[in-house]
Amino acid sequence: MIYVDKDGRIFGIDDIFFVAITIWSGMFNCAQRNSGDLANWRLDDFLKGAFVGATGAVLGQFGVSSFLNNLAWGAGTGAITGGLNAALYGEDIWQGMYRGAAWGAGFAALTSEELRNTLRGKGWNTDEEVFNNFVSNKDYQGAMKYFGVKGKYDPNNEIFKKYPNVKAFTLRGTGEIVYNEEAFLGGYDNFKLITFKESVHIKRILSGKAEYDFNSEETRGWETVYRNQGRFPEHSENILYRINHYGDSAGIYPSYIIPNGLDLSKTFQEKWWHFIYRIPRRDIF
Amino acid sequence: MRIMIICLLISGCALHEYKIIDGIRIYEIDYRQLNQTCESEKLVLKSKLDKIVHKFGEDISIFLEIVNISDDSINMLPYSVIYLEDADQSYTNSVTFSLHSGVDLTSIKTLSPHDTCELRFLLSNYVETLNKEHEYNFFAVYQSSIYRMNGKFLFAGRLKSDTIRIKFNRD
Repeated sequence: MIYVDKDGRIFGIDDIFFVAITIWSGMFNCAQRNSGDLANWRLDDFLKGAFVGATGAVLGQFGVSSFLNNLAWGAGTGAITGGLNAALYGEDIWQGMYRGAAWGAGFAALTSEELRNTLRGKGWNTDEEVFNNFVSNKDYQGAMKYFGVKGKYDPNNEIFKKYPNVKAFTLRGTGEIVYNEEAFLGGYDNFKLITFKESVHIKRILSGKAEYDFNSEETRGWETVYRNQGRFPEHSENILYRINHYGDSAGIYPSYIIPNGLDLSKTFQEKWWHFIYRIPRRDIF
Repeated sequence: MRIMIICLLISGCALHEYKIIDGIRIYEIDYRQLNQTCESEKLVLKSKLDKIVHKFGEDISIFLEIVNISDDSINMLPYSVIYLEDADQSYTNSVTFSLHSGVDLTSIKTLSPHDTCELRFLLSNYVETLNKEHEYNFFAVYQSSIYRMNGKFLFAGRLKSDTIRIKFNRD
């Protein structure tokens, strides 16, 4: 069995952050257990710390945009990792959970959208509310700048005049992303989906992994979007249709006309465990 | 010697992977190989339109011909994946219109040398996608990845037509 790192993410987290958090937790635990002396570190301390850190990294990415829900999730995550740490060292599990919950809630509050937006002068608002304010003022370029979306807003581009419903595209030669007004009118989660998909294409183009054929590249783009639906849980895109539409044309997910009708056994099918892709996730990693 | 025989058997199996669809054994080339071949020395895809200028919203009749330009007879699946794509391939998210989706395994056609297979499609439901102020250049694409089916060898590859120009009345 070969593990293929399709999008450079482990459990949905960027590889580099996952590895960094795991190693840092292992080292932090070694230092903590030896009163700050890292020279005499022990492997079991490192492994225990790394295990707790990895668990926290996986759990910490989930959560929803509401401040109180996030706080509750942060406390819960902290309680689990704190309890786990205490259990690994035979310490009082309840104490560990209380301490972890306090740290987790604090971390959730510090990384909340509301606090971040307040500090950036947009008031105690979620990202969605800030985005909606930009859209109601038709300040699309401002929204892109605020949310760190690469590319340019150019509704007068010839492509959009030809195809008014196209929301965005990436130029294959330069990797430049161009957005249409349509990209902003479907709500925050649909906007995030579009920007995410274009970022997938640009990464693939710049790394030389982009498919030669348009339909194949679109299929791969939509597959990555499918695996990351938790980042934009309120989207209204029919992703399965998109994968099969482009996948059929590309020959990746072909359908066959047979004497008794249509054989769809080789098309992209939803599996029971795909619910994991739809669990709401935060973009802090 | 034994190892060599095992290796040959394994590589032989890998080269001849097949699918069983409704009891039909089909052999396909990989999609990456398929998508990188847009020309064939055996078949050519030609397009014809009854007219270039259309009333916006009316069905557009698209007439395609697959011509065997070789001196050998060729088996093929005429109703394979066929679509229109924007001639401008410089950007992602470009628009495609499916003319036929799904590979029809029930219709094998044998094209004698210089014989032609005629296909006619109607392009409809484009009002939401196109802008009547613009002129469009499309390619028709025919593709089939099945190179062997029920013991018969078939044409597998991708054919791109000449440019199909579509304009609309502005009134």
